[in-house]
Amino acid sequence: MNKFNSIDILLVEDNPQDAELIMRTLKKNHIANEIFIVYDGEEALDFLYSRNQYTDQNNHIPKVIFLDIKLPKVNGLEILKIVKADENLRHIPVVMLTSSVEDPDIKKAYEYGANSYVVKPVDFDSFCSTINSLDMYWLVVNQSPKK
Amino acid sequence: MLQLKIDSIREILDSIHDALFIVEKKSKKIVYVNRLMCKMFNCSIKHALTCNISNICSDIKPYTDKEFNRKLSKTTKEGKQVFEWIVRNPKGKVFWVEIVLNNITIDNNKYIIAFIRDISDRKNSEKEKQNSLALLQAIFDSSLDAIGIVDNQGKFINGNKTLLARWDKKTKHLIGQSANKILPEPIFIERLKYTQNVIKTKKAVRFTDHYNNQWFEVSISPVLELDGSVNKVAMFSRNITEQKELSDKIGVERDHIVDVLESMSDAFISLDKNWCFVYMNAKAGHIFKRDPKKIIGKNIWEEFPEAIGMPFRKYYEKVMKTKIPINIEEYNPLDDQWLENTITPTRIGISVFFHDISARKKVEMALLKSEERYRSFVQCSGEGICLFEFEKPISLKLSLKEQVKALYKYGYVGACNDKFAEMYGFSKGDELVGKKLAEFHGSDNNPENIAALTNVAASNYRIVNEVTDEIDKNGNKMYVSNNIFGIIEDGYLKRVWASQNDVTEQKRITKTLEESEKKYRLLIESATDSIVILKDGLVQYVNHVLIELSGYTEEELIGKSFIDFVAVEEREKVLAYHKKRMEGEIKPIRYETYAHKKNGEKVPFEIVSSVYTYKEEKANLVFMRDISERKRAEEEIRKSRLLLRTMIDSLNLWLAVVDLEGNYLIANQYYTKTFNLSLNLIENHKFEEHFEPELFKKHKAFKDQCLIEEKTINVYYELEFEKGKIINVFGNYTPLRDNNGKIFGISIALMDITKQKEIERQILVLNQTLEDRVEKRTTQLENANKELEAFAYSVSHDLRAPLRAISGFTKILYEDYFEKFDEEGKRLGNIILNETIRMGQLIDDLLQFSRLGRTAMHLSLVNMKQMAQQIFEETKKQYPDKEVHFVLADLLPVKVDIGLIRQVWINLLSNAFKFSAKKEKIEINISCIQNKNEIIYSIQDNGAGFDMKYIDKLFGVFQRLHNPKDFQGTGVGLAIVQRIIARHDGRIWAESEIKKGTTFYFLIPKHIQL
Repeated sequence: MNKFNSIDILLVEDNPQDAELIMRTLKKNHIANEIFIVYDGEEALDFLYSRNQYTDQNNHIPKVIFLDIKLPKVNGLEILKIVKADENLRHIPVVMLTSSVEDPDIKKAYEYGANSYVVKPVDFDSFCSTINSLDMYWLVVNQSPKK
Repeated sequence: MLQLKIDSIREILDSIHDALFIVEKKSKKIVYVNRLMCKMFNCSIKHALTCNISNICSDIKPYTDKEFNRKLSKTTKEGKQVFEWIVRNPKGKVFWVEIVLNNITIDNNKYIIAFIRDISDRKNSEKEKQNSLALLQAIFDSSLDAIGIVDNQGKFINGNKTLLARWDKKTKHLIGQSANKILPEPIFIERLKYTQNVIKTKKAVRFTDHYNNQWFEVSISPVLELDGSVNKVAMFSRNITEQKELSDKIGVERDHIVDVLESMSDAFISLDKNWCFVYMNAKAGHIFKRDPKKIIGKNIWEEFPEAIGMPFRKYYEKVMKTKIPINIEEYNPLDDQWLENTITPTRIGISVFFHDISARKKVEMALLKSEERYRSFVQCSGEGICLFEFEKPISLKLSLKEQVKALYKYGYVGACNDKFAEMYGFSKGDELVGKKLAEFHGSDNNPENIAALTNVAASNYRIVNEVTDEIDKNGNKMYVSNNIFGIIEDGYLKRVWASQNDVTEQKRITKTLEESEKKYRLLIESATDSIVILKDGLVQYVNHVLIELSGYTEEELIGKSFIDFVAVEEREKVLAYHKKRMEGEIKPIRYETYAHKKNGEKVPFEIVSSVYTYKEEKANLVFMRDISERKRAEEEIRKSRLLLRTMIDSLNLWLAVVDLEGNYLIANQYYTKTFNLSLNLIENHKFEEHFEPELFKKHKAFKDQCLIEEKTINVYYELEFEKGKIINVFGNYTPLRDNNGKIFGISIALMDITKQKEIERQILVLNQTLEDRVEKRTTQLENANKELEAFAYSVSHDLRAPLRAISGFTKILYEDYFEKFDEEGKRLGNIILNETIRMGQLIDDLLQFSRLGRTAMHLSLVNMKQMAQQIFEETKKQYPDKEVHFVLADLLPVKVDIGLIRQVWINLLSNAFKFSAKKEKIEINISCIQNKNEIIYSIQDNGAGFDMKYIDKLFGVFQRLHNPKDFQGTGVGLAIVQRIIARHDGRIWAESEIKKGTTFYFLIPKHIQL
């Protein structure tokens, strides 16, 4: 039994508080089943490519990736670039979930092929509703290609 | 009695001249017609028998069949009827008939027999008679003569209108009246006698009588009856009073004329167009030796065949033809008579008056003879002699003008010799004889001629040796010496003797002399200079110019010594010149001197003196020209020259003018000092002389260029002027043109601008340093900006995260441990949450604020009104339950950064709403005004307002003038607005009153300099 087989969301977030808040919100709504968190960019890649600490897994392709921009080691935009360049991974919807409202970042993100760019609101209620909307959209409404 | 059978009866009936038919009384049918009836009505017997009355009657009333039936009835009652009728035959022809109806009984049946006779002809002739009667009546009445039909008693049977008018009686009254009643007794008796005579003799008579001062021509004609008897007459009476009077008059005049003609001393005949004598008076009878009475009607040429060849016949015929009267003289050899014939045309032919002039003629003849003698005498004379005679003597009482007129009109050459005639271009004296003055002497319109003759008349026709100018035959001018001798008798000029001598040649010579003298005089008089003629130093003649100029009179000058008028200091010089002149110096000497006017004033003169012959002696002709003006002008020039000199010498630059050869014309002091030249003798130098070869080369190049291009050349060069010292020279070479535009020289102006050059250099260096500094600063600024950018980024990103965590976890805490919190706990939790939100806002605002300084501005024309409206509506959405009164005036569009200005409106409107929200009604008023260069927008609210004491803090960052308890806010909004406005080169300010409201004004220039 492979516990990584049915990952719904891959959450790449370095801020543990933010991570915790997101998890809580998602769990509350029971939409997503399996959420996997990595706390830095390198780990995210390791996970996606089933290498290093994740070699013992089969290729696990999440249904959607929630990606922050500011990450240690490899930053979000770089990961996005790699994912979207990779034949096997490029089909995965990537949602930039980030605090940065900087225009250059937004531009770059879309250039690299982000499916969506969402700014994390400061106010928690808004934050929650944003997360839930995302969850609802990408996992329920949106049609992903079947592997 | 003959017994007639039916056939015979029919025959008889058929042969009678009338148409016949029989009508049965009872049936009214036609039972019998005769042949003529059939013929008249153009029908057969058979047909006729089928007809009844209506077939023959016409529709013409009253000749209808109804009436006819009535006639039939009348016949039955009264018996035979005879009447005229109009009938119609079957063809439609309508004609007059006479019908006789009668009752007849045949075999005990009652019939009516009708006889019809066609009376068309009768009717026509009746009509004609009527017409001709009417015509006769018209003629009768319209006659202008009074016509009366009178019987042998003198009674009127009839009369025409004229008669009636004359007697003003109506016909009724006239007829039966005796003419006695109308005519005076004697006239009546007379006329009655005539009347009765005419009746008896049956012959008409004509006579005239008169009564009541009227004359009548009466004619009485017999009126023949049919049987040839006469028992009345027609008397025609015509009023001939006017004609009578006229012919009486003519008769009287005629007698009068005859008396005159008979009593005349002249003979008189009158001929008609056919040359027949109409009249001859007794005297003529004597001349012609005929009986006047018997000659009337006889043709003159037939009567006097010998006259046919005579000269007068030609004249008679001429007058007859041309109707122009002629006078001729004619000699009658039979009686040794001279007769003057005056032949005049008349209405019917010609008439001739004969006047005996034999006596006169005899005298004339005698005169003629003696004249011959004198003629030959005159002819031999060497002078031109002419006898001027007059058609009629001229009265000396007449005005001169009249006399001259008469001379022209009546005067003619009675006699003249060949010499005289030659003078007028004729060859023989005879050619002139008879000619009038105007024909040889000159036109009578010529004022000269008139003047000459007037002169003659004025001198009483006695002229001795006077010279006049005349025109000869060829129209050439000639001069004549005249002697005139007029014969005057009893105040009348009878004739004039004139002798003339041609003095043309002498005159010509004198004239030439005079003319040349005139020419010289004219020359002298028209000179604008003063002219003096001196003889032995004394003034002989002065012209008017000198007289006027000097102020002396001619008398004061003539004969005086000229030296007296010369200025004292000049006298020696003048005398010296004069001496030279008189000693034979050929060339005219010209010099200047001064002379005195009468008033002592000294006048400068230019003198030219020459020697010539004046009136056969040696004299001085002196021309004196007043040169005061010139002297003045010279002084002016000298003055301005001095000024110019002073000016150019004061300049601190080298100024020189050279001619095309390089000779100096002008050089200023600066120049001469520099090159060590003598100012006075500058003309002696050429600018090549003192130049270094280097300098000279430069100069020559510039000079040549200037001359070639023919315009000003600006020059600049560096020069090693003194050892080691380099100067910068700047200036120009300008070509100078004379009045014809030709270049005669060059003006050279040069300046030492070394100092200025140095300064220039320094400025350049300074500029360069400045440039470098600016560049450095810019780089620094750019770096600073970059740092700020990074900082802002950081802030935006990194600060938010913890903020989110705080907010999030507090919320979780709230939710999960809700029950465990008391009121205070909840309150505290709320505070934390609110603060996080606020912090988030602050961060956003700060970020925006910082970004403001960095982003580039993109200007475009913005519809401010539209934007304000839009933003108002968006902001209002946040206050759905508030009553808002919004006034938005027409805002002028302006060129601004659309994004930034949007932020301004957002912030200002948001404030307006926020601070007015506590009032019952929010009132916001937006308007704008403009002046030349800027637009000022204003937004007014009725909010809480602020204390103007703190106006300086209004736009400070994070500065608040209100308690956050009352009004929320970060205190960055207005700071942002101010920064944006400042970036637009504008200004923002506000006015407020606490509790009343606030008005914000922001000014934006129309043209922003970024």
